[in-house]
Amino acid sequence: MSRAAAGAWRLMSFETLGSTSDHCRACAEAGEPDGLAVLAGQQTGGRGSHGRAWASPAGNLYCSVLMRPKGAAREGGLWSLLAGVAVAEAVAALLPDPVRLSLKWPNDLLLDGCKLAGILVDSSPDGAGGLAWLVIGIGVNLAHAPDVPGRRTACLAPFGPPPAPEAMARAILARLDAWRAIQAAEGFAPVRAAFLARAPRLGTRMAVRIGDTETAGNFAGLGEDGSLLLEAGARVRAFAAGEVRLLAGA
Amino acid sequence: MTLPFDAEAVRALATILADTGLSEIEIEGKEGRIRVVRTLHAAPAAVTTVALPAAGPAIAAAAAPPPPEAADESAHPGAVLSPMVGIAYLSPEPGAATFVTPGQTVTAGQTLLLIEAMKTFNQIKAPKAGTVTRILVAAGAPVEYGQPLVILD
Repeated sequence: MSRAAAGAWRLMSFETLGSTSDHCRACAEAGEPDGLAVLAGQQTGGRGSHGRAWASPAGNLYCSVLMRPKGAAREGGLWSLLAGVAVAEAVAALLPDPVRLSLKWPNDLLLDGCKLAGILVDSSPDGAGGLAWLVIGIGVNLAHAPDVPGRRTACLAPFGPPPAPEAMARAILARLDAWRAIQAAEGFAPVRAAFLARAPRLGTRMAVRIGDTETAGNFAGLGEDGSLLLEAGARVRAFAAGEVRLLAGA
Repeated sequence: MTLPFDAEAVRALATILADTGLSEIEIEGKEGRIRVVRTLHAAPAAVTTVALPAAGPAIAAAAAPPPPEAADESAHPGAVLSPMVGIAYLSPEPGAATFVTPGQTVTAGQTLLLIEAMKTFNQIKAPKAGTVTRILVAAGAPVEYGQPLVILD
């Protein structure tokens, strides 16, 4: 394990971990202050959403950060979207044609519609309605696009030598700092606007699945709480959770 | 363009609905109209009604099939209520043991379950030490703000 600094962040780097988020979460529960970033060269137990594994070969980024922001416990989801915006900006700076990147609610980063990065957040309440800590786990496919059955994946290798994971992490941490300051000063509205600028156009056909129920409709933006708005029939419905799928024929 | 959406107002109305046992409330002002509908004996899903300008299309709430007893348990003194809308997870990952089981004693601050919203997994902790007598939500079920999740005695 090695330690370094990146701005105000404390970087803790490992060759191999089970999961950077598990390690970061254990540090949080042991009282580690805001500003820790845990990196691993590879993960043996990387987690994706919905119980899927996150393929974690050497050469891609696996990074989890610990923050202790002020705010209500139920606002943890806003940080999930904020992290998506920060990662999208850090990656966009490396691409000749950043419009090929898009954000899929709540925070998947897609390149030409194929998954390039994923984010999962863990949060804990402080017992008085506030947040005690947030751990934001970030995986970015830099050198390798893992072969995942039923999923299209992408990586940055086709654009030239991919960035080193630590360099990518530093770029992401800088954008997280920037967006954290913006959200502290102006609230969620600028984050939402930045997200929408990289999201599918309003009116795009999509479907949201919760359990066995899928609802199809037209993308109608984001709620003030970060929820996905979908116009279905004559109704606009707000989804706080669910798996989004873009539908053909938008 | 973004839709005006007063989440706090919707939450407040939803709370009034739950408290009064009414099935529907609609308010209208120059900003638009908000209508919140509750299916009796049905807990709302991880889906809420959104207010639109009065000239916009009609609005209705969505409700999902519910844990039947949930509506009556929120007044229970040992009820742990959901602080948010989302999806309940009873174990740290699929296939793993649940955080708690009925009959188990827990300490204050022990994690009882997770509620996921926007890929953020929020720990729901025991507000006090006690015994878990009932778990009122199923794994993967949508939960609403204020919905009772667990009874601690």
